[in-house]
Amino acid sequence: MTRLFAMLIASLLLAVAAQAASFRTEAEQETTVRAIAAKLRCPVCQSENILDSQSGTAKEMMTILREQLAQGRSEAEIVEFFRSRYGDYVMLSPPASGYGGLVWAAPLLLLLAGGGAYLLLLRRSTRASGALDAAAPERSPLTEQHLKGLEL
Amino acid sequence: MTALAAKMRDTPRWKWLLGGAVVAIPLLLGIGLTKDPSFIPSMIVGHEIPAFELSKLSGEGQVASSVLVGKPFVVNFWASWCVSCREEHPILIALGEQAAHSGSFTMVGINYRDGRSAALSYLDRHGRFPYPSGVDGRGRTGIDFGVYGMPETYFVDAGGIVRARHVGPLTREAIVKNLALIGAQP
Amino acid sequence: MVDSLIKLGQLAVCLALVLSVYAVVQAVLSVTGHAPARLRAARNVLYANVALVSFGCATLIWSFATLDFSVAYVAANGSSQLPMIYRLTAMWGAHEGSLMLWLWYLTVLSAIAAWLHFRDHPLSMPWVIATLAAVQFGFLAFIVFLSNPFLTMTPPLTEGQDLNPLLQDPGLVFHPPVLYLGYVGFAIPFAFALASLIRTQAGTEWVKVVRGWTLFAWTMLTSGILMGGFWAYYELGWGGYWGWDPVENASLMPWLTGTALLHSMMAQDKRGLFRTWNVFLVVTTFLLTLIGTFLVRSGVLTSVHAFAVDPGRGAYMLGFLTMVMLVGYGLILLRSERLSADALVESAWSRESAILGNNVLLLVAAATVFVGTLYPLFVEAVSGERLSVGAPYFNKVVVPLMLAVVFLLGIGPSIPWRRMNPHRFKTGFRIPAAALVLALAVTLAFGVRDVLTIVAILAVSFAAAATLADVVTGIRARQRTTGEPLWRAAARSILIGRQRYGGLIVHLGIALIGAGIIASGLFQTAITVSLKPGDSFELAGNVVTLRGVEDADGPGYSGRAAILSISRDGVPLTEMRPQKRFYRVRSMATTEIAIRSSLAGDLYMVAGDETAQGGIVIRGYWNPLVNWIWAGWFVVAFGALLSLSSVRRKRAPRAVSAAGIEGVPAE
Repeated sequence: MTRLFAMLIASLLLAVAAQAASFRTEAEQETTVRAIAAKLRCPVCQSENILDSQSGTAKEMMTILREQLAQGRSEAEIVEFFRSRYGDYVMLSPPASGYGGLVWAAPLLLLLAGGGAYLLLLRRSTRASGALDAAAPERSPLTEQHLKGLEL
Repeated sequence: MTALAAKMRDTPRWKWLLGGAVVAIPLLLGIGLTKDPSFIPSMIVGHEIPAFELSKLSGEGQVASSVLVGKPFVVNFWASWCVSCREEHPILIALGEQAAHSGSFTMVGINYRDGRSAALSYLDRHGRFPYPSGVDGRGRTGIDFGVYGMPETYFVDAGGIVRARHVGPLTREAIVKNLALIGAQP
Repeated sequence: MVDSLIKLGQLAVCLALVLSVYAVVQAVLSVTGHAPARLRAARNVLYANVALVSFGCATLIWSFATLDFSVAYVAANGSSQLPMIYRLTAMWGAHEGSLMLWLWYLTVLSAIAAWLHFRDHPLSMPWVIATLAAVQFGFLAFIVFLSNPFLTMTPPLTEGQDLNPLLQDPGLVFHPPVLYLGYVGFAIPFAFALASLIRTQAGTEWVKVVRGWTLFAWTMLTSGILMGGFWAYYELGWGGYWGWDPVENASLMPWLTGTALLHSMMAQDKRGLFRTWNVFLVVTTFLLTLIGTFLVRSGVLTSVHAFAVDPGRGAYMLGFLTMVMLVGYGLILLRSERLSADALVESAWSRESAILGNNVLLLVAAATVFVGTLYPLFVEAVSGERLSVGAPYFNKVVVPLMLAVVFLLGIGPSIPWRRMNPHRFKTGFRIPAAALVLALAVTLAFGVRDVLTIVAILAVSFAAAATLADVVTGIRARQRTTGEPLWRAAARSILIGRQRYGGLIVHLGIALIGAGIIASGLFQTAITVSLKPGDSFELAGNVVTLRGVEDADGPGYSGRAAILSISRDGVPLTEMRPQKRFYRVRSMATTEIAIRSSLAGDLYMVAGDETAQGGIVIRGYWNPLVNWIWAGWFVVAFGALLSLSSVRRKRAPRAVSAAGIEGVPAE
């Protein structure tokens, strides 16, 4: 009797757990679907991803994406599937190699150039002025400005 | 001369950059003006044709790539909702008759993302093709081909390798040029 | 009669075109000839052009109001089914008419600038007027020869093709006019920048004028961009407000450089720094507004917002753009030496240095957006390959840069000019530092583990706390010294220090917007479900039940509405009715989303395809804190207007001005 009862409870728990698990994987899969879809460009629209696009082709691409995820394919494989059909054009996030790699490097190069210019200017400038007034009186950061005319 | 060289040497780097931008940006935008921003190059030209097996739009049987390979053939994607398809319609019919006469190549249509009745009444209005069309209702075959603008026409050689793709309404010049590529007599 | 009215409108615009050439010639000649009469004549042209272009616009609007389909532009963008309000705003619904709006702004702002500054800047005025008239000529010629909205057709159509349904929305009434005002506003600083380059003088008087106009243009641009985002949010129905579309990027670039300009102008104002740099920023910002117009109207990039494409127009715009670039950057290359600063950045721990950092970050962000937007063009030009640079790229590279800007936004205003003792840093930032720790603890406690998310939350909390602390410290200090009650001390401080407090309030607004963007961008929940009547689903604690689907027809369209009832914890809250509409004239389908807003976030419902058995597909979103973005806009606008009210016209004493500028009477 107790054994039966225990089994009953166990199976009940299992069912609940399975339910929760299936719910979770469903929700998780939906998140994955959306994440991948947001990176794929609809080939028949004006710069829209297949998630937001209402075009038939985009909707069919969404279906393919869901099917392939359900078959256990990885994001890279799915992206490659579409890339082999539409080329790099279909990737809203450009590939990290070739010309795509260059555009990923651009912000970093720009930041280095900008940072370099900032440091250079600062060093040149502070050196030139440092000789002039090494003993300039320090101004209070906050209160003094707030009080006086507030001409900041 | 040396004065110029000295002047160039003394010019600060940012001036070269700014001057370069003045030249480069209009140049780039100008080149951009001559290009079509929605054009997508085909990924399958030079590769084997994606396999398809579609039921015929009218009549029994199937349109299958496996049957077509062995002889040069032309695949045309069309739909009743596609406005510029109407433009190439007479050319397609002529090309189909030409294929039947010469026997050096085959012609096949793929009805892309369309309703069967809409497609059939479209053919009734504009004239039937002298070759079969397969039904690609959900557009899977189209996606396999990388179709993005309708109509599109693919030229495949006897070995099943795609040799050319034409986007937009077919022209006689395009037909002559592309048939030569797949070893068919125009 | 009506036909001749629109022809009169065209005549007025053609006359304005001729007059703009006359104004350029007179203004330039007035410099060499010492001829005040010539300068006055040139100025009067700017006034006259307001009247002429206003009349042109009026005839166009009148044609829309009376549905005169003999006017080709009206026939293409109006219809008898269009409600009156959209008939009046349809003028800027397509390419030609929106250029007219642009031009009208340009004439009005030019005239205002001439009227405000004519006496105070007599030596700059010839060049300012010549530049503005030349820019007017550029747009007038474009309208008259390549984008003429006054063309008529015989025989007239009996029915028009209707306005694009997406534009039949209150958003269209406000978004383009405000955005364009922002774009055009930068033409005035540009004119003054050219004048200062030609005269090789960028003194303090220049600073005051440019600062005021930049602040005005920046406020409008910010408002226009946010309104556009709001419009996209409730009209396009994809649950977001910013998609990194090329045209959106085109509006963001001048915003970034304009923001940099606002800050570095302060350094020139207070310390005489960054003169050439400021001129460069002014020219660049104006150029970016033109590049934006080019990108939208030339068809060089695909975009959801693009106008009808015409290569001739693209070529013209490119020519115009290149001319402006050659003149602007060319003058900088030739004249920069003579604009050198008379001061130096003295210490890395100074406001100057912080502003420099702000400028570097904003410019890198602008350059990144520029590179990313035009990169597909570049790749195609060099290799013939096609690739896309889209939202995932920009989110990854621009967001970190902007977070750094937000951090700096908290620090900058409390650092004094010239230099500060680094030890002060510790005492000055006790409160923001505490906020930083608190925010970190809360974020971690809520289980957020993504580094970028954590950094984003920290940046916004820090900036908000630092800005608030700054405001409070100032008010307290006044209260201590004057002994006034708190509210009076607050009002007085803010009133007296409008420029500073206006800026701080703008910063607060930006922090609010930042919070909204982070929350709605990173914590959005979305769900797509197919419902039959009676079915329900849960979204962010709300239970959404489909009651049914019913007809919802309106002027010019037939619609279907899904009736959704919303309840929370068993308590019914409200009903939401997202619609799908079909506009008959253009045979175009649109979605009308339904939103239930609260401070915590928006419940956002989109109706999809109807299914068998009276069911429908519903896309639901929970967008947390998205309202903070729009609330932040009000704060930003308030702060900016407060700051703008502190810009006073510098009235030169009569005697001085008369002596300084012989020949120009002080009217």
